[in-house]
Amino acid sequence: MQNQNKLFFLVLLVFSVNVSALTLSGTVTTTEGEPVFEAVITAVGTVKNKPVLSKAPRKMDQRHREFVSHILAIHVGESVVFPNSDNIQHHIYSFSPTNSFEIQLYKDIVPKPIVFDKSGVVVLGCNIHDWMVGYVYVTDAPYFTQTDAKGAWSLNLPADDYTLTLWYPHLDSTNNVQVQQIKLNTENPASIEQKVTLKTTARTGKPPAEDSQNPLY
Amino acid sequence: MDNWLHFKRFRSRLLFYIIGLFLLTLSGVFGVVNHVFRQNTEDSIRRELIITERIFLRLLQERSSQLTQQATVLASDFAFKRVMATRDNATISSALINLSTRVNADVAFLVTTDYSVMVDNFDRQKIGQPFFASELIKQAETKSKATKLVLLNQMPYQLIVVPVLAPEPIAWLCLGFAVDNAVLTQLKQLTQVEISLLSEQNAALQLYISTLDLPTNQTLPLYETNADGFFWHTDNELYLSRLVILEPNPNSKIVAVIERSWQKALENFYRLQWLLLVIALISLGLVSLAALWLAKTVSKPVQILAQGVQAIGQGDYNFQVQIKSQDEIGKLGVAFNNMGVQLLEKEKIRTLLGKMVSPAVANELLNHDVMLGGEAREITALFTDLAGFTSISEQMSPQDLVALLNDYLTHMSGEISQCDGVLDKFIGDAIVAFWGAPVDDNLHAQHAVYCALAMQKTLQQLRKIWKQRGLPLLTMRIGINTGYAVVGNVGSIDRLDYTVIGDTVNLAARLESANKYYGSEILISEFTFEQIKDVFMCRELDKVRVQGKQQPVAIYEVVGEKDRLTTEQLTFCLAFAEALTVFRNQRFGHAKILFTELVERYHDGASALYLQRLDTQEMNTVSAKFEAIYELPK
Repeated sequence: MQNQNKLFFLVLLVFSVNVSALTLSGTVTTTEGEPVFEAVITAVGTVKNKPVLSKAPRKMDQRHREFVSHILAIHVGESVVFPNSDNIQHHIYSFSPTNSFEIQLYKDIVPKPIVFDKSGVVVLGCNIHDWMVGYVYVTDAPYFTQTDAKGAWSLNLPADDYTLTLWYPHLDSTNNVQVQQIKLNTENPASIEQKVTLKTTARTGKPPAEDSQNPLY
Repeated sequence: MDNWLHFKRFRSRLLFYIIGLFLLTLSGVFGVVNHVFRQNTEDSIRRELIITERIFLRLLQERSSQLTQQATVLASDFAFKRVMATRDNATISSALINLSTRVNADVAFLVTTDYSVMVDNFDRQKIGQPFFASELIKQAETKSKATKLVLLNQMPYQLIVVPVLAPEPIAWLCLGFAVDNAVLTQLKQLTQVEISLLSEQNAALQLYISTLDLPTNQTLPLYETNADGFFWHTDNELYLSRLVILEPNPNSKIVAVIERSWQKALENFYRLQWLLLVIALISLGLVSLAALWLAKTVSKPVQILAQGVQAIGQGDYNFQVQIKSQDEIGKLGVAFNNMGVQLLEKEKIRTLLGKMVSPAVANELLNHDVMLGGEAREITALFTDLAGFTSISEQMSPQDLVALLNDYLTHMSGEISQCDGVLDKFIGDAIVAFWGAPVDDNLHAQHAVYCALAMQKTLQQLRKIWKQRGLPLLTMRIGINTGYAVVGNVGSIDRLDYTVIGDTVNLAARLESANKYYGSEILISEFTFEQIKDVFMCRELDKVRVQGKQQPVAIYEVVGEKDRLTTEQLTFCLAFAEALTVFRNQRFGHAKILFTELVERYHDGASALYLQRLDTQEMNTVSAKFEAIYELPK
């Protein structure tokens, strides 16, 4: 019964979006002009639309001892799979209060996807590689997107009043977010150019690339 | 000069000046060494303190980075991160204590990312309150680590803050390591300086910990921290110190005083001082000995010379000083001895001359370098004798006799001196004198004849005195001859007499004796006569044959000085001369008349002698062989 209702709403939503979709776009750059990659932009309108959740798990790979993607935005309730593309083992963990988990030392297998059913930022680390850091941005906002390598983003949104939120790690503001209100009712809304400053943080340096066949030491 | 600088002894003065000079030099050297050494020590301590400050700061830095690394490793403990994820504070606290034990941290805190205290094993009351050193965490946010020296409960701690990364900071691990005696002692071992940690509050320094034995709560006045270092002292030690600011936080400035004991730094110098003192004392001893020796080598000969001078002053010309050295003083000694010898010789000569000649002659002899060796020169010798002395000597006591003789001889020798004659010798009542040596005297004959007249005059006066005493009247016979004779010092080595030898002297002696034959008082030879005839009136008495001589010698009686002759004397002389001429012309009859007249008129002895000769003469025969030359009677 409940599933039927959900399905109905989902259909309704798709329909309504399809009816009157407007494209909102923007760029995120640092004040120095550098593009900010993988920043998360969420939009919450006055109409409480339920987002359409992906059935298939989202993916955050581990490649060359880094999380790829570095930042992954998902809807609440979606799952993420953490494959290991390296030929060494990884031990990923999150001690974030919202979604705490561990996948201990593994390789060559695809572990069970992790379901993230609470909104919040989940910081991922690798127990054996201190510099590896990944973020899963779990949001209950109906719409979100992430910037591309040039810092550009776009969202197809129905006309409404939106609370637009920009999140990026170490953004120099409270909770690392920048929030703005926007009325979206015209065909061609102006592009939103956002300049951000990032907090300098000390990071554990990454050692040079390892060659497992010929170790350096 | 002051009295104290007057020394009675040369040795004392030499000692005083040498030792004084030595001490002055020594004290100068000492002063310079002292100054330089102290200055050097101070400079080197100041330099060392600057270096030590760097080392000290570096060591603190090293320690803090070492502790930071330890803390970083601790914070990376995955199990601890897991515990953190449990949010079970009791477990987290327990795990924190476990962690801090691994690195011997004295205090440990966990601070949330919003700077409130999560776990505090130092003071549990503070949980949930803002962390007291949030600025340290802010520093760690950008640099992933932070460290600071802070005071907790009056004790300095080195605080280390590192993040607990998961992999973003989920909390801040703050570990505190007490900077206690052990730490300071370790630093002291490495840097060799005393270290004290103090905080500066209200312009006073509060001491917390020190490697020195200091009472706690010691306060120090504030010093200029830029200064090169400063001296300060406790009750019994002086330190050269340097203030090092460890935490410039204005509210709780933490400073370290690094210092070096001045006395200990000078220990080497004190050793050197002792060594110098020992060397100085030894040198002083050696110098004193050397000065004493030097003084002795100088003063002893001086003393000896002084004795010598004293001896010479007292007339001991035989005194010889014994100075063996070859130097100037030795030469002085030799010169002194030579002087003694020369003085002795001069004194001998003076004594000798004083007996023989007038002081004028003696002086002339002494002042001019007159050779007293034997030499032949023309002199005039004078012999005297007292007629009848032998016969009266038997009637008188020896004392009276000697007194009479001495009186007579004293007067006669006085006359000889007066006439610049040399008194050769006394032979009993006889006197031998001569003129013409050793001093050149062209008028030696005149002087001798004049002296003879003077002696006869003196005798006249003596006879008056003798007459009053009832003594017998004595007459003096004088014989004078002029000619060459040998003059010189004659005698043995011990006893020398300056005397004349030769026929000239013998004839003078014969002439003296011949007086009794002619009844005359002064008889001279024709050789003397030739030199005095212009001054003195003489009458020729006879021509005599002298032994060993071919030519007969005329002999004359000295009548007197020509200027002082009386008419009677002149008449008499002319009369005798006429009578003699008549006699020699063999007109014996006429001669007899003339001589008889002279005898009757003048009681002339010579005329009487000629009358005797006429008695034995054949009166009326004139012979070509008649020479009127007679043997000189003995």
